[in-house]
Amino acid sequence: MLQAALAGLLSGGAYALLAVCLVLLYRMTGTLNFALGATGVFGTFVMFSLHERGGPLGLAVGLGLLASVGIGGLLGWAMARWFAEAPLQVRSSVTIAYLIALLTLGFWIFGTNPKPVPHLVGFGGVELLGLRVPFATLVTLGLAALLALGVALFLQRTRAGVWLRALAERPTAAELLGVPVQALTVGVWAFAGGVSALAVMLIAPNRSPEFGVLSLLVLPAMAGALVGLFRSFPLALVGGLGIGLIEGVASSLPIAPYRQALWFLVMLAALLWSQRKEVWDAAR
Amino acid sequence: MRRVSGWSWIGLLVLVALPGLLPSYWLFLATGMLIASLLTWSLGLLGGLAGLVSLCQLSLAGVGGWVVAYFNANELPVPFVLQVLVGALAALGIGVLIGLPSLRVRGVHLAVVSLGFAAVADLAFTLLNFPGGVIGKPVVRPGLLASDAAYYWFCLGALLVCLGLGLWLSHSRLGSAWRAVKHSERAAAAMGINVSGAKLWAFAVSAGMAGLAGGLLGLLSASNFAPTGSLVLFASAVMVGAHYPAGALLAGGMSWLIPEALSRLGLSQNLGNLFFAFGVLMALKAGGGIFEVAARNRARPAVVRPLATSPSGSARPSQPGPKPVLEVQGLSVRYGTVQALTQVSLTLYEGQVLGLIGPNGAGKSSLVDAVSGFVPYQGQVRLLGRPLEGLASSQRARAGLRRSFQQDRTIPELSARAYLELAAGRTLTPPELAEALAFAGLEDPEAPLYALDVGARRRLEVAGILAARPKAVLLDEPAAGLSAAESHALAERIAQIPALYGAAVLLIEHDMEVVRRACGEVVVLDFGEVLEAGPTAEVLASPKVVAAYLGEEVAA
Amino acid sequence: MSLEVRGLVVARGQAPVVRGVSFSVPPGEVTALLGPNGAGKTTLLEALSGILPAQEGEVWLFGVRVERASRVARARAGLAHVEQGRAVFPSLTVEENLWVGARSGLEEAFGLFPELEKRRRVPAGQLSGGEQQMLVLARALLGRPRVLLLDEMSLGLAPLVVRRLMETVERLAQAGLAVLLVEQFAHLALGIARQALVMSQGRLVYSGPAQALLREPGLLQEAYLGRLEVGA
Repeated sequence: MLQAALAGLLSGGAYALLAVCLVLLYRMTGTLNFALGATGVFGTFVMFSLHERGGPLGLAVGLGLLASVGIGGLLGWAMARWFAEAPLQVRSSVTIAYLIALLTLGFWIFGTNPKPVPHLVGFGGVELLGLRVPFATLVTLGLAALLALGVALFLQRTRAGVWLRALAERPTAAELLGVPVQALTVGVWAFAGGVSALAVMLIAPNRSPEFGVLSLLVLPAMAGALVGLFRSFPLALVGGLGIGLIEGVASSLPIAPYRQALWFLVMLAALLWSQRKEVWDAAR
Repeated sequence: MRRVSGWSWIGLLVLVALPGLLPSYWLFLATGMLIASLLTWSLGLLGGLAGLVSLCQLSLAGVGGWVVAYFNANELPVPFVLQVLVGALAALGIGVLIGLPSLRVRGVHLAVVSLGFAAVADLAFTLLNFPGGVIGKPVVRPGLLASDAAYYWFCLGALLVCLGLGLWLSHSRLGSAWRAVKHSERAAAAMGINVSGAKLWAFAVSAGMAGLAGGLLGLLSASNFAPTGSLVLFASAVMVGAHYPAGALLAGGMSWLIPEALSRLGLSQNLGNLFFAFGVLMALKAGGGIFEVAARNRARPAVVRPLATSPSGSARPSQPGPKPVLEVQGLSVRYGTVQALTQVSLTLYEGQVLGLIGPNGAGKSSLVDAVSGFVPYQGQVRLLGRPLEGLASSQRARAGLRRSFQQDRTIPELSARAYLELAAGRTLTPPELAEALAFAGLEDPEAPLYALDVGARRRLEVAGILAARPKAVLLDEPAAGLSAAESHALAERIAQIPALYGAAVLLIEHDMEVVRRACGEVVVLDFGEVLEAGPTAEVLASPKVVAAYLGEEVAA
Repeated sequence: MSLEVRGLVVARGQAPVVRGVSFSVPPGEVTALLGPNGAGKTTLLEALSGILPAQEGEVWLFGVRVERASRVARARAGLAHVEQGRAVFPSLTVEENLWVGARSGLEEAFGLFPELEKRRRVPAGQLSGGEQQMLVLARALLGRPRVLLLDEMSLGLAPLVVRRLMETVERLAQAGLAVLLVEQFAHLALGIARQALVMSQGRLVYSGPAQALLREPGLLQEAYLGRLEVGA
């Protein structure tokens, strides 16, 4: 059972990486980004293709990350350019259009033939309290923790971080003080795109490496982020990891085939609990 | 019901005649277009009318398809038509289940839940497999529907029935309620609409139609109902404005014609999705789909007569009777750490127009929100002696306590008649309708509200409230945004409300000229407490009140 | 002229709220903008800083037309707008609030309002109303503006605090800033203003020396409370 739970932590770490990015985008740019997973998958497939053609893994990964950073930045720029004043619901609908476009282009460019999936992290592991922890799990968990911590420090300690927090709390007041909104938005989107690519690259060896399937990794990540109501970075981390653990445990139970749908229950529970008092729609 | 234009009849004729004109491959495509149109229409009713989001419409279709496949694979002796209907019912049930979270979960959160459901359903379809899917058993159509032409007509019939049902609903009270919920749940509840019920009905109708479409598809593979398909469907529905029948037909047609054209050009059929992605971006930028924007551009400003002040000189404020209509006792409201109202008591008597005034932030709107049941409070509110505690806002509205809103919350997509009847909660007789329209200064009962100026909409809101024949009316700054002449004319009308409609009025207003014309007595709130109460002229001249408005030193 | 407005029309939703207003705000003095609730004062300020678009008319800032410019561009051109309701960033500390728009060190702000320095690491949401108002004023000043729009600073504050804020504003104007001051309590604004504008129903109904309004309180009372019936 414990070993099974541990096996779920790799997924959990990837969910957590995505969840933290979702929270970042939601809080700082007022968008629930349905296309976050697909942005990362795009870079991952760039990496797959380069690797398949014999490119060195390091270069392939680097260019893959760069591709996702670029796509993220581009999508963020379009959002800031044309939908800066739009409400959350419209901006999130825009990301649905982004998702459709990325899925379509992904299938078109990369085809549907299965590609060899390189492991970024070696196969070894360490013994810990009688449990075998694979390196990949350790790396993913480490990255997730590092990201949550890094984002928190960035927001606390840097001028751009203070700007972002100001923007998140009162966008109009921040603009009236001359905060460069557009540049910040593009930056956050580009960063989230890169992290998303990293998360997808790490989890890809454990999943069916299809563009569409991997793009929907954004859903368990949303469930994780909902544990912190899209506001708290630590809770998004915990939520992502928790969902991974639940999946791990479930894989040793009779419901194993459905383990990758259990996040839906977490999502429903988190939403219904958090919104239980929302008798009226917010502003209307 | 609106008249059906000549073009619609021609279009219908062409649709019916198609099987005689098309070769069989094209007829197959045309059948697919009809089913896709039905799916888009189901999404249009949900999103376009009720403002609810579903990113799992294809999964609901999958439920319908699964049921038909199940009957078929097990060769159960059930007529095909019945199979399809059972499939629709199954989808309807699941649709209501998906709708349940929507009673609390809204907007993007609802989108997340529904896309989550689509992913889970996709997993379930893949694991369970479609009955007969593995061995590739096609759905057997009964003898009457065996030919492609007959099946086409059958699907056309199903689509027309659903279009008709949808149109009928959209002009019914339920359809008006959906539009109200879409625009503002508070305004809907203030008109006595059961918001939860309206939402669940929307999900039920939409899911039932989606399930029906799924049963008609006759496809037996989980991949047909993948989440991506639901996303594209959502995009195409938003792009066209799918609650217009022509929009649904256009989207259905494009969803087959574009891939067909692409494949003839030697390109991947999937690239058609880019078109829908781009289309939905355009629609989001324009603030509406193709047919929505077209309808908005067609609309001409309606004829509105300005209200004139009565020729017999200024109407005198009416005198209160002895019977209390609305009693507020010890009302306190807190928002977190902010105490908005402290122990406020006031009584509204029969035949009275009572003014409620005070500086910004004095708690006037909080009082209206509390009394009408929109925010929790301590204290007691009685309507004709009956305590209202425990009643939801829509129940208070139905009990005869109506309110208006400071911001314009009329429902732009409704016609004046539909709005008035929705507000009244019943069909109005011609004299009643004429009277209400006259109050609003309107001539054409079918004028859509988005074609009206603010003044006319504000008067229409009041006219709707009065058409419901309430006992007590709370008007929250009804003259906001009106010109001086208009607001004075409105003030005179308000002064006549007790005599003409038998309702007592609590009028919140910042324009003192309006207050002076409409109210015999006023209550002044400041910092959440009653500062002064009494006859209007006396209170307005009181040094305390002048100080509250102008600051202390002027008064001193 | 620091700020000049010609024929400005502004709508909120579809309703025109400011209906054709022209005036100018000179440097080195306070211009008071008065009028009853709902007259359109806040809407006017919001159009000046770009929160709301102008339907018609022109806004000139130091000889440059800016009515189509973005909020950020107007801020960088030297326009500061202190919004109604003390728009602090509540979870940011006092220090961080000041950093957001600062073009220099924070000492200047602390020199103006020493009490802020004592609470520099406190989240702004926990400050008293008066301290929050000082914070947003100081925050705006750190961006080195040359035109300052102030909306209802005194709302809900103790008279002593209000007096200090007003004195500060007066000093700032004397140092060369152009100040447009919206104030519900007319006497406060008129006490420090040289020019006064009175709005009613979206139009300017008075434009002239502030002193004249102080000498004729009847003019103001009429704008705020309507005509008082004699003998009532």
